[in-house]
Parts: sequence; C-alpha cells; structure tokens
Amino acid sequence: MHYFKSDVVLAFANPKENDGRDSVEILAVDEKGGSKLQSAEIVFSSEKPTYRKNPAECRACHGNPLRFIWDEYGYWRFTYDSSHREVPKDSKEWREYLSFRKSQSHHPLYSQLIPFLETDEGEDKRDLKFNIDQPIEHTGFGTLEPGNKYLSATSSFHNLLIREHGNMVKALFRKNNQSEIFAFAIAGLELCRGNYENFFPEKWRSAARSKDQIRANLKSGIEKYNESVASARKKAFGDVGDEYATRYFQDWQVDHAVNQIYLAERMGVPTASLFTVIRSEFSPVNMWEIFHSNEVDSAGPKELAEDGVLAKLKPIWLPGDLREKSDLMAKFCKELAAESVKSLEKHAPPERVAARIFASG
Amino acid sequence: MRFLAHFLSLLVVPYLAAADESMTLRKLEDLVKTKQPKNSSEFLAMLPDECRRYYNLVYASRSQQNSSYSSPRIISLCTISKVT
Repeated sequence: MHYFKSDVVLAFANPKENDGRDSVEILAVDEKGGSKLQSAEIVFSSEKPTYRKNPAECRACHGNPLRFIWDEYGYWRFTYDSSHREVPKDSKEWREYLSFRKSQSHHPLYSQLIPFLETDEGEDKRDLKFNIDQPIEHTGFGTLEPGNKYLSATSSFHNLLIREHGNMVKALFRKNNQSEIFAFAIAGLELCRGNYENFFPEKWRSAARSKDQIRANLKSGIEKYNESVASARKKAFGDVGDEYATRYFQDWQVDHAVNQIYLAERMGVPTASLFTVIRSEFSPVNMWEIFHSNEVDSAGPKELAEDGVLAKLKPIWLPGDLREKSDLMAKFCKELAAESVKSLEKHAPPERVAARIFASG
Repeated sequence: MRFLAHFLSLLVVPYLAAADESMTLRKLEDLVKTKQPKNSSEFLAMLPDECRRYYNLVYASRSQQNSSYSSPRIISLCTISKVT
C-alpha cells in the first residue's frame, strides 16, 4: 500500500492585490522527519530576494506548532472548484473562474502554472496521469479512482494535506495511551469516506464491515442535524453558503458528524469531546464554524455547550497570545484525554472497545 | 493563445526538474540565493513541474496575502512523492 504525499506547500499572490508587495509563503514538513512543520517567506524587492526562516507572522494563522489550514473534504469555500464538480454553472464563482482562466495565459504569474486540460464545458481534467496512477481510494465518491476521467483540483490538494495532518496527529496519538481510542474514532469518523484506512488498516476493515449497520442506526437523526447545521453554515458564509450548504450537508458532513456521535456513545466517551478533538486536530478552520453554530439547536453544538467545551476552546482559537493559546490547547487536550480514559475505564474496558463499537446489535 | 503560453513556459527549463525529485526548504533557499529570481513569477517558473501542476486558486481567505476572483492566491504543492 502506498500513497502520495506533499512535503512543501507554497503560496503565491498577485502583487497588485498586495500594494506591490511580492512574496511567497512556504510551509514544509521537517526534513529531519517527525511531525513538525517549518515555515519560510521569500520577499522580492528591487534588489535581491530575501529568504526568511520561520517568520513569526506565520503562526498568527497557522498556530504554534504550525499546521496546515485547509477545510475537510467536499467543500473548500473561497477556492475555485470549491465544491468539486458540483459548482453550479450559474454561480458567481463559476463565472469568475471562467473569466480568470481566459486571462491566465497573459498574466506573468498565473501563466507559469501548467494549465488545466478542459472539456468544452470547462471541466478540470488536467491530471490524468496522476489520477490513473493513484493507487489509493480517495475520500468519497471516487474522485481519484483509477479511470475516473475527472480530477478535482481541490480534492487532490485536500487528499495530500489531510495525509500530512494524519501523520502529524498519528504521531501525537502514539505518545500517549489514547491511541487506540482515537484509532477507533478516526476509523469510524471516516466510515463513509475512507480517508484513514492507510493509517489504521485493521481498524478500518473492522469498521467498514459495520458500515451498513451504523448507517441504519443513525438514519433517524440525520435530517434534523442536517437542517440545523446547514442553517449555521448559511448564516456564517452568506451567499456561498446559500449555494452549497444544503447540497454539502446532505451527505458527507452529516455522515461525518453522526458517526462521531454514534462512536462516542458506543465508546462511552463524551460526544463533544471526541467531536472537538478530532475536528480541531484535523482542521482548525472547523473550530471557527463551531463557534458560529453555537446558537443552533442541534446535537453537535448543543452538546458542545453542555460539556463546556466551547468555553474552553474560545480562548484558544480566538486572537491572543500564541504561547498562551498553545499552553491552553495542551492543557485542554490533556483534560480531554483524562476524561476519555475515565469514561473508557468506567464504561468500556480497552480490551472490549472493539466489541462495543462494532457490535451488530 | 493558451497553448502558446504553455509552449513558452516549457522553454523555461525548470531549475530543479532534472535533479532530485524531492523538494525541501533547503533547496528552495538555495534556489533563491543562487538564482536570485527578480520576482515571484520568475521564481515560480524555476520550480519543478509538480509545483506548477498541483495547485489551488483561493480567491478569498484570512491570509495576509490578499486575493480576489481575478487575482487568486496560488497554493502550490511540491514534492509529490510516493510513499510505500
């Protein structure tokens, strides 16, 4: 089993949008191995370019320790191809995208990119080779399955980044006694999507066998959750939410969320804790969404509020001193881990966790 | 026109394309110091194909780098390596 990974991510911007400032931002996996990222910035001026190692500004958004910021699969707001292959052709995003593509070849920066291969309808087909060579199952609905003639730019990117996240989180989990708990959680979390089978293959296979059963057990709660969370999304993201919220939350996100709830119940750990840890680890941006859905009367945010998790997390994710935030996050995670151990020991002895989670009844 | 632009871009032989496939921060730093690209466009042209093929275009974000529909940020992936 093998997969593709990306070690270096670079961000370019048009200087005209930045008062003439011309720079490239970089995040990279530590060359020496491990789970840490490093950052750098290249600034171009009238003289020679300047290379800056680990600029402090990076941590304002990417945190300390550094992490990638990228939304979870299926919907990447404010990115062209934000909802891969499902961006409505009458949407503003689609019109602007086509306009951008027409001007791309004349632009000094954007013309350096290798153009997409397109059909007459503008579908993205740029990477057939990578697509066909892709040996792994991708997240959801076969975006990168061999033979699939379309490739989503954003899902490809997501695929690579999420694996980096996964490696980082896996390294963290292995440092404490909670690895089994989270292995199960992650396997279950991705039941309907298949991201993490490479990390925990045995757990994944066990979980996959129970997929239909779990789906059936959870079916009743999906619609209500869908409506409330979609409403929060719409509220938070305005017109973009208008366009995609319903479509998006009708499948992946709901499955995603209810699986966590189900697994938490089976494991005997607080749903909100499980939910929060997983989502915050894999996608910090999601925490912002959680805050914005705080007022929504849905299972997720309501339980978060009842557990007091929101109150604990706000100081971590809102602006403030980075070191203080980092310490708070570490403290919070320790508390959650301790809480989970306590619950697990009380309700589900570790050796019986698998049976509890994947029981057919 | 797009084809022409693509063709012209191929004439700019990527600096690292024929070298070790893996991209690292150290290599990027070396590239900047030895070749001293004048701007980000020139720098991007020096990068291997992978960096210019696997990218996303972000038209709004909370980044310090501003962007818009007509001038999106390029989020580029380098070192597409196979892990066994």
